[in-house]
Amino acid sequence: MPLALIWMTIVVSLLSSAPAGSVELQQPERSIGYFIGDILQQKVAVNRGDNVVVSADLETGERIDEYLYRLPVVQPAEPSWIGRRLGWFRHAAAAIYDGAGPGGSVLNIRYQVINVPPVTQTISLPELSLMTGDNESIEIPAWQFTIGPLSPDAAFVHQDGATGRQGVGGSLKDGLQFLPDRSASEFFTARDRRKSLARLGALISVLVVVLLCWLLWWLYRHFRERHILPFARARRAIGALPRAHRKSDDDAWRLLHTALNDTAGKTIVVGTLPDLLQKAPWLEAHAGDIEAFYLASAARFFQQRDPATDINVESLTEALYQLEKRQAPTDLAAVASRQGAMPASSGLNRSGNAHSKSLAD
Amino acid sequence: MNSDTVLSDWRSKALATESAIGSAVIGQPSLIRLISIALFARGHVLLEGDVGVGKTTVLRAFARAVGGDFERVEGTIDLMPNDLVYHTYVDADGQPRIDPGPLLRHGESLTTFFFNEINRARPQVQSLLLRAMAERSVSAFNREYQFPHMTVFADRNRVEKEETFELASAARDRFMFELNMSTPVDDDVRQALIIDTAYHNADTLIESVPLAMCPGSELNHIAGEIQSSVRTSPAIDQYLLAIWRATENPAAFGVSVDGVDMDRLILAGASPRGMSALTRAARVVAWMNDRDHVIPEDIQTVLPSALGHRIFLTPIYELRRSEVAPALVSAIMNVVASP
Repeated sequence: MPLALIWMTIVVSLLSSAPAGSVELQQPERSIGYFIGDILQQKVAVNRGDNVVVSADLETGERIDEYLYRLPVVQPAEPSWIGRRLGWFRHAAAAIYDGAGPGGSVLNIRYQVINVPPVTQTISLPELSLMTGDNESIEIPAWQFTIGPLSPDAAFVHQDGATGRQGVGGSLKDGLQFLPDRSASEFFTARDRRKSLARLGALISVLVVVLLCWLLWWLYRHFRERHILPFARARRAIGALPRAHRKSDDDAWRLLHTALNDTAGKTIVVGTLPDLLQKAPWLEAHAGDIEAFYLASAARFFQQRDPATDINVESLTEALYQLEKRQAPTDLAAVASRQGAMPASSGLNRSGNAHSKSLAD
Repeated sequence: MNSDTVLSDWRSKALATESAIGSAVIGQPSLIRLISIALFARGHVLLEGDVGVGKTTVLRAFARAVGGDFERVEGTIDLMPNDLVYHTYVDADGQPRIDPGPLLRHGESLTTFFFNEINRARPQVQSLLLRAMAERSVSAFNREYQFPHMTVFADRNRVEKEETFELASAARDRFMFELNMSTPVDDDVRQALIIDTAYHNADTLIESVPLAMCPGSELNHIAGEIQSSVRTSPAIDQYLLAIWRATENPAAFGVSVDGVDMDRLILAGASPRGMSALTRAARVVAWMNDRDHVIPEDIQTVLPSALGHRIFLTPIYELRRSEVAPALVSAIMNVVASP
């Protein structure tokens, strides 16, 4: 808030500054009531075409005394090309630096209160000698003002009843009260660092083990599915057939029959297709295709005539496999036991090869 | 008239016969179909069931539908083999006479021989019947009697076991089908059987079946036509062979029955005669369904009836035959597939 007031003061003073052709010094607005952190600003304005030479001390900033620190002088920025073209920046700058007249320059010297005495005290901004670009000397005299603490001297002094030591904080007789002390954080020692690293390492190790277990489980489950799920097995076995035979080879038809039988848990014929759909309702989407397959199979294997419809066994198996994959029972052991009861199904052995031992005997 | 037309005509006759008998004996369509299949496959039928369910009625109805000469023998514990072949008596002139028994009485015109309560007859009587069933002939009085058109229908009740003689394995194997006739479960059928007076008089019911709808004397010929016209594909041949092997060693096929040690279950699998009967019956099923080729469903239709009594179990399981055999056949059907 004080800083804002100071700026307003500067602006007002600039707006009502002395006419052009002289050096004007503007001191801070007030000389009392400064606290730690407040900034006081002196403003030196010169005529058009002139400027104040900024010494190296002013550019870097320095500690003046116990209570004051001079902030580095910031040169006013040159308006950009766009700003010059538009003109607004120039006008705005002129308004701000009106005290220096159009085209003049202004030097802002700012001091910050970095320390305060226990009681209100009068101190001074230091004297300062400056030079203009025209070698005109500018003398800035010392300027007095008062600074003081934010609180009374003994307002928060607290004496510990147990130890007798004095300090800041605790409850006061006048009812003022600090926030309770925050416990200090423990020192972060090298030992702590090693322990933390060890904990981090253990955590990462556990994470890696969990991920590894999950990966192994995924591989194992994938492997089991490929070897247990009926249509997955049929798909794999059909894929092992010569490419030209996959769509229409007798073995491919038998493999698909085996998969359907294994899915139903019993031998399926046209008349018992409802049993299959009851056992595996997720096949309903392809019920028509399955029935067509059975009719074509009957014509092919029993009637020994070309079926009326052309069945692509490979693609039908793939479609049924996709359904099976989405609906795969979580308890694969049940599937395995069901298949275990049907080793000779469709004349195919468990590995999906045609002509089981029983039929080959 | 070509063969196809003959077969088509006979199919119509067979279906009409089934319909007529089905009207007389209600609530037993599958049983009637199986007996009809056996008739056209030239096989003998053993019917088992509770007392009073209509075993005799249905067999008599078939006998009437087949026509020809009919003989009926009641199995009793004192029945002896010679009682089937001849009987002796002293005539009015005081001369000893020997007349042909029920088996020989009609000669070659005998079409239906109905043996009621066969398990009450001694094994000697059953043995005589073995040859008559297998070869359709017997030797007596130094000559051989032929019964080319004879079909043996036998029944036994499963309730009473006292003073009965269980059929030997060889005797059972002579029957193409062993059928179980159970009490109808449908309430409408049950209500008709007890309320409708039309079903109270068996003789009237049997007479409602047209006589000789399927003349027995022609059955051998038409059966031959059926067997030669209905073909089996290599896939069906393999299927039949797989079934046969499964009856011999079900464990090798992964067949399992709850509570049964499959390695100790089978004494002997189905006989060649049994498998032949199965194939013949399957062809008849295909013919009755207007097909010229056999499909697995045809075989499955007759498999329980044709093989259930032909799988010979070890003694430890023989006592549980009525429970184990159907489960075994069902498991075989579930496991063995074609193609």
